[in-house]
Amino acid sequence: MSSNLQAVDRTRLTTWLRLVSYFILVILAFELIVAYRFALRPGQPAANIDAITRYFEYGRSVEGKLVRMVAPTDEATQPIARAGWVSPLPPPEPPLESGEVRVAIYGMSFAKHIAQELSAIDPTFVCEMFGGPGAPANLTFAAFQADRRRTHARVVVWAVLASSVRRMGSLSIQTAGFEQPVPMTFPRFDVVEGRLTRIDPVISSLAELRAALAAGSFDDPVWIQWRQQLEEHDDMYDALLFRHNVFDGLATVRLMRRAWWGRHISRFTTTVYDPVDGFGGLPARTLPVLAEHFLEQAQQDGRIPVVMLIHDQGFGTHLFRLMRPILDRKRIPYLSTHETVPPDNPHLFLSDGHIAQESNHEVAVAFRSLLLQELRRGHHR
Amino acid sequence: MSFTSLEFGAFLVVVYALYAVLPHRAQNAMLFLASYFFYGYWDYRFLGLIAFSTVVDYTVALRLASTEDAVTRKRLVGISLLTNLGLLGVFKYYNFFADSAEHVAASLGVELHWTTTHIVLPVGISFYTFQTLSYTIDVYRRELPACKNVLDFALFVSFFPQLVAGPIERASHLLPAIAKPRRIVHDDVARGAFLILFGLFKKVAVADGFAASVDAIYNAPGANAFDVLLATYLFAFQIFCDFSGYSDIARGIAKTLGFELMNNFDQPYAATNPREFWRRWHISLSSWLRDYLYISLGGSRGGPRTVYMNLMLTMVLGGLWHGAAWNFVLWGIFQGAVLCIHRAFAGPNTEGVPQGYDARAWLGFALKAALYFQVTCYGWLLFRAGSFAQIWDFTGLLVAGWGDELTLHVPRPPLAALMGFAILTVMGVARLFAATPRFYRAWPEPLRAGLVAAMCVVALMGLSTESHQFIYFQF
Repeated sequence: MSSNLQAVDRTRLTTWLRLVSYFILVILAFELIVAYRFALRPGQPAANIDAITRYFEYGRSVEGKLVRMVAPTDEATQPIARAGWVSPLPPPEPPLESGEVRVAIYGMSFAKHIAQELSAIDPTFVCEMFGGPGAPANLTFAAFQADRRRTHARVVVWAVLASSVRRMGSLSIQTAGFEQPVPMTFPRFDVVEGRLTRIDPVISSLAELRAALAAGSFDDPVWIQWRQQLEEHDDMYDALLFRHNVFDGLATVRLMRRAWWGRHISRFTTTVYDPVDGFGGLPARTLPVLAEHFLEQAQQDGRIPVVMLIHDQGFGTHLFRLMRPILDRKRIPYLSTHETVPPDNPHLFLSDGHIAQESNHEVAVAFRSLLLQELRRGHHR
Repeated sequence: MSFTSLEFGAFLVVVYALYAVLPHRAQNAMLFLASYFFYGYWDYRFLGLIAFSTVVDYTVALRLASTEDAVTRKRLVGISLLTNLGLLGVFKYYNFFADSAEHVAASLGVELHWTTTHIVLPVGISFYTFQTLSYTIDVYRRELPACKNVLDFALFVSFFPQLVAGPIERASHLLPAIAKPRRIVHDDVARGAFLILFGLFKKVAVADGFAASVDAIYNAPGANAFDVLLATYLFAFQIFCDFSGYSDIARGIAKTLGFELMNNFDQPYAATNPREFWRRWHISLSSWLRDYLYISLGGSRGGPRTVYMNLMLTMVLGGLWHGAAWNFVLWGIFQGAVLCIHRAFAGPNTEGVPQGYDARAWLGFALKAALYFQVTCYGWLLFRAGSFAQIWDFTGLLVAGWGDELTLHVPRPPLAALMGFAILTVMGVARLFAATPRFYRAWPEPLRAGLVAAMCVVALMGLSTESHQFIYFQF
């Protein structure tokens, strides 16, 4: 080594070794405290997990989280793992009372809250929800398509959530929601040479997921195939975040993995979203085409199509700006929440990011007006 | 390339590896190239600006050293001032002054159509401009010999640890360190590594953690008095941890390379008056403003009116240095006014932190520091506000908004920020009593190791929340 470096003397070296040893001991003590005091117990219901335990679990690998969520039976499986699957379809719809109007809404929790407010304001609207937590537009569109042969709804609503638009290049919220992954899978739509393309996920139901994860060793052929598909076709897949390894047991490694996710998501977001220019890439080219297909297919089925644009915080009104030209040009009825709930006003949102109930009420009032107007127009056609 | 990015970590590893094996002159050449790479990574187009500024000041200083003619010397220093302030004026202030002039003219019924262009502010331009300006002024004042080695001078202007957000180094301090051979010394590496960790900890755990809570109030309508008060307190710690965190990292990196950069912060919120505050906050800028602006204007010589004028002018220009916006000017006026009032009533002397363990003295000090902290925070309100209307609204709420419903809308900061803040508070109090920045060296080894481990864990926790760019990069 060069003479730029000072020679090491023995006393200094022993001091340093002692300090490093103490440092390692403190980190080990931290690991032990987290492992014993803030560890998830097998089969512990999600509702009973305290905030600090949850905090240290955020950085666990996706595979590590999935095996804890999906149990051999539906009862033992966490409710979130059962949500959002397009397959199998729900049971047939119950009959309507006279004067009632069935509204099928393909969306997420935001859309569900608005639907609940609508039914409370006007019980003649019987809302049926279909979708999952944080569902991107490709899931809600796939749900609409799958439900065409089952539903008898007079009105079909395709909901698009602003913060989920960037997830449209994914096949699941396993990859697109690392901290709290949702197992549901969905197709990935894209527009290639002007045509809408669709890639269906290798795993398309909870039963298939359960079978693939049954061994717990992540070497089931279907699981390997699924991972390969994610690697090839899921824009948000990252092996470092997804794959389970022995370091999942260390809290410090989980914190590092969570930090890596922060970097991953912010870098990925810049590829599809710019705070000034709005959405770009796959979402920008696909969403308007999906809207056109939604209109055509709903009209073929004799239903009234409504597009619901839900603006949560962090993405301004860019979703509306992206969709407005196609909605106006094709005269697709739409409701955009930014008109009643400006996304830059945090007081209109709850701490978990959802729209506050009073604001949902206002959105539901506007939604009701739109539905009544479209139903009247539908009678005249 | 931000200090908190992985790219910077990789960059630093390469720089250290080369630095450890290269001889002194080659070290300087490598550091110069590394600094240009570091700066070019932001935007390579601005490398031309820094190179131009370097060449002009290097040449001007050499010419200054070779002439005794007073008129020529004045012209030469004028060229340096014109070049550096001209660059600053065009890139930082052109649109601001053009917009303001149009507004003023419009209010007088005159229509001006000056062209405002989309000029991207080169990162760190205010910092390196002041650094290089101080060099030519020092040479002009014959306080410093001109640097003959162009590479050494170019490294002085562009030294990457402090290039984009300071500390604003003096040539009399940094140039000799560049010129003399350096060795990597264990104590420096240890101290430097601690400073880097401490800076990262402050930035990613506390500053980034508080950012969302502050933004929720300052970037949205509907705040009440309680929100404004709490968000402004949080901003006081956000900006301190952000900026002093950057300075600590800069000093730490420089220290591991064998350079000693100046301390930029010395517990500013322990100040009991404005004079003391400015000796503790952004020390490299406040001392620059004192030495090159306030003293050039006449300083404390002359009657009280002249001194107050000099103080006001210095602080207003200091405010404007921070950004091309009227709220920074207002912040400067506020700081100038507070300094003038303090000078008028308390005189030029200031009291420091009490010595010893006199409980009454400490209680008095704590009360005064807490009181002055409120004044500082009102300054931060002016600094952080997005518009005059917001300043007006928030000031109104703080004065007369306490009778309204006071539901708190400030989101709770993440766990890492709260834990980091607790650790910083304990360290701050320990530092006050110990009266030395290296107070922790007197602690037992397990406690020191525990402190470092705690900072590592909390910094890791902080890294996992949303990260933000350093605030002072925009200046």
